[in-house]
Amino acid sequence: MTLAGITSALRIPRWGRRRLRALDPYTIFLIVLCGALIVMAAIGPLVAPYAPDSTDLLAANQGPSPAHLLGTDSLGRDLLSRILWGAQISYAAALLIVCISVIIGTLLALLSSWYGGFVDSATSSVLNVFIAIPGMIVAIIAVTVLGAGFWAPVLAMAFASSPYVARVIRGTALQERHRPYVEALALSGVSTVRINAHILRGVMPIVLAQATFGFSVALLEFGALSFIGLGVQPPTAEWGAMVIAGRTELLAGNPQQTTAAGVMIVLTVISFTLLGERLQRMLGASR
Amino acid sequence: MTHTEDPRPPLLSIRGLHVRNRIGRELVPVLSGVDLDVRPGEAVGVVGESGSGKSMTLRAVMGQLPKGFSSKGSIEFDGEDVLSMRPSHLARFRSRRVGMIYQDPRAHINPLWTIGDFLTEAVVADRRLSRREARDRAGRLLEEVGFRDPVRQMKQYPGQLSGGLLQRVMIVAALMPEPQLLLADEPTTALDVTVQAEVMSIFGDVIRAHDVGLLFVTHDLDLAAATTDRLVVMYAGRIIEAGPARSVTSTPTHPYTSALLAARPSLTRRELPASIPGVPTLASSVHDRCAFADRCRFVEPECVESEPRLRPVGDDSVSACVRTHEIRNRLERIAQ
Amino acid sequence: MSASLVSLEHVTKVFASPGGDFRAVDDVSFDLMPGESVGIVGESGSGKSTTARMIAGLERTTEGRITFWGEQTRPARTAVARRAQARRVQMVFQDPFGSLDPRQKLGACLAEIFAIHGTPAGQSTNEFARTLLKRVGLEAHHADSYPRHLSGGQRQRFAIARALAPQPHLLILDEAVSALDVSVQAQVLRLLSDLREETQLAYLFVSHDLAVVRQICDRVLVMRDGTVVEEGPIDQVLDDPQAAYTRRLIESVPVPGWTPPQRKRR
Repeated sequence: MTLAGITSALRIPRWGRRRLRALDPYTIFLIVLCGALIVMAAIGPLVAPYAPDSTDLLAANQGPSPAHLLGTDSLGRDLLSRILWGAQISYAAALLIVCISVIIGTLLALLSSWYGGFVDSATSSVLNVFIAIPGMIVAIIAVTVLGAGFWAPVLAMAFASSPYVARVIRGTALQERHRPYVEALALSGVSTVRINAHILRGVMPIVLAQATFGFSVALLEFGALSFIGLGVQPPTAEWGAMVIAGRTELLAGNPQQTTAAGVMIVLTVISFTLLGERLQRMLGASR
Repeated sequence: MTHTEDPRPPLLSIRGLHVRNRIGRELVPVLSGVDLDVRPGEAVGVVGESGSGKSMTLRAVMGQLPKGFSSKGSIEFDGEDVLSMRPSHLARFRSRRVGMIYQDPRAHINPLWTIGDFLTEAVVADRRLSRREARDRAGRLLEEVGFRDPVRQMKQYPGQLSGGLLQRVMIVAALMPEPQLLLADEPTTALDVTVQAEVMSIFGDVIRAHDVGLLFVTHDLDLAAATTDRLVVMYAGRIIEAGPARSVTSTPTHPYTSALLAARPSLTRRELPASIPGVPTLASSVHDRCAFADRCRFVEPECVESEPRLRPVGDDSVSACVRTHEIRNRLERIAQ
Repeated sequence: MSASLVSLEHVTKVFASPGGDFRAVDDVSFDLMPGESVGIVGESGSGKSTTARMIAGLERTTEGRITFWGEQTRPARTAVARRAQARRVQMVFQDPFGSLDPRQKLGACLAEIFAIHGTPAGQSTNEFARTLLKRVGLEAHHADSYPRHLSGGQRQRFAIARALAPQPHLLILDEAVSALDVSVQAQVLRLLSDLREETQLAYLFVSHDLAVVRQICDRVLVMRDGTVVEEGPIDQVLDDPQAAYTRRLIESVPVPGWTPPQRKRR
């Protein structure tokens, strides 16, 4: 069961194998864990034993049993199924937030670092102002104006986090932009857009680390919004909403709803944060 | 007085120094069997190209091998082995008896301290001199290296001085604790050529005046020959030739030295320098044969049978070439 | 003169900064003929690199003009202007590590340039890439390598190949051999010399190393603090220097049998 054996069995290409060999077991564990969580979110609804909103009042508030592996909530809905369905929503929200903010943030960073001078300082100042505004506040305002649901908070948070991403990436982008090869490319007559594609490739590792980090942050914040009732509405299953919904049952001695959802949130956030931190450290060390 | 007549024992004596680097699961050789002596008051130049191991040798003498590097052999300084010194002892060794001058002075000087503070801090902290005594000594040394107004200039900050002046400050810093040995790692490579000439001149005066030994690492053969008494040529992590500086550069005893001399562009003639085919060999690629065999024009079957040891040539020199006596004249002609 | 390839007329470059303006280049004029090899020597702060960069179009002049075949040039703003400039002048930089994108294979790097400038008539992209690589002493299989697989000397040779790809008229070498080991430097000098014999390429060789300049250049300009202190055929300037600074430079170069000039005692 060596790493070499597993990777060749899975037919991982040679360049991937070499990179994997450079990783320590801890990082590989994190990658596998995060990967498993993503797979769970992707195929969750397909393997869920019940529909997420099928109620069975006779079976309400039961603990774990063979029929309901994680127990049931106050309306008799199977918690395992709700977790699996909820994963999709939570992860989809987080993924969208990350993707949008990373794309906008990276574009801003590249623009800022390419032109430098006034463009850079003006952009940085504006970004700094926006960073000072907490994303949650923006999201709450957006929801109040546009109504609760999925898209309003997702878009609001995506735009609210873009400045922060831009600032983080700008540092590396500036470093890359001032390397001699960029000047050499310009001298060869290569277009500005193509040169920035080169710079983007150089910045990609930091972008990935930032995206991984941002995923867990976004998940937590979206869950928090649902927690205060401004995200997705019942009966849609969503982890944050499940935590709050199970609160009264918790006090009545039935902790399974809150616990199940809470544990999943914590597990996801910790796994992805650790992975993001690990990636950042690895890539920081390689500079 | 030539240094072979100096009756004092060698200041620094390196014997059988092997240094290896752990990469993954392998131990990659970086230095393979270096033997070197520096007598009191003697200036020894170590010359080589990239990968020759010259800088690594200096780091070993300072006890500053990078993480993951292991060493074997002995580096005797005044009777004690640097490689087996306890950390506290090593710290004292580095601060009192050996002075090091690096290639980039700005990286080794605190930009927030004045020159005066920088020079006096170490000796005062060591409680060897009072602050006033330290300032006096610093002033005298600064004058010796060419500062016209040391008292005023000691109040300046590193950022206000040029590279050449800063390197002179580093020389003073190295001399402050009155060390017995100076180590210099390409001290003038980053300087302009006119500044380099001045600093080299100061170096020469200073080591003679203070009777310190000098181990001087450089890639420039002519520069080394100008300031040192003995020259050691390194290639692929080992010494391939050593001898009096002038004779190594005029009558080399190893084909590599000869080729290196021939590869220098000439200032006086328009004649393209001869290149050495291939790239400098790494210590890790050498196995049981002469390190230079793949690139040598004089190679014979005997050169690849086993690794040649350094053998004496004449009174004062050693060479790792098995054919040195046969090809001596041709080597000299190539080097011209 | 319109016969000259490059002509500098009273070129000055001032870098403005809050601490005070810095005159990097001060009223420099010279001509470079097609196929000629001219060296600019000087120490740090002499303005030699800044002059070269202005000719390459990487900096703009503060005063004065630079002309190519009589036509004034400015740093290119548009893609079209950049293309035209690339066909006139190319540059090989000092740092063999930093001047190549570490994530791009050598073949892809060349292909990117061919996509803009095309290849000489009758040669496909692959053929021309192979030709260029061989001409600088690299193998065809190096096209699949990344820069980190090459030694410093090989990287510099590739940098020369890349500079030749747009088929320029002038090649500026900015301390291009200074970071190389002596034996490798000799190889690259030989390459540059052979290249000049094969093509009609003009060289502008910027260096602090007088000996290297002697091997490659026909004429030399000695710069100090932004001005040209002496100028002339290489043999004349080095064997019979007129300016005191040139003499001092020559005396400071370590040569066989050299000793540092004695310090002037106060």
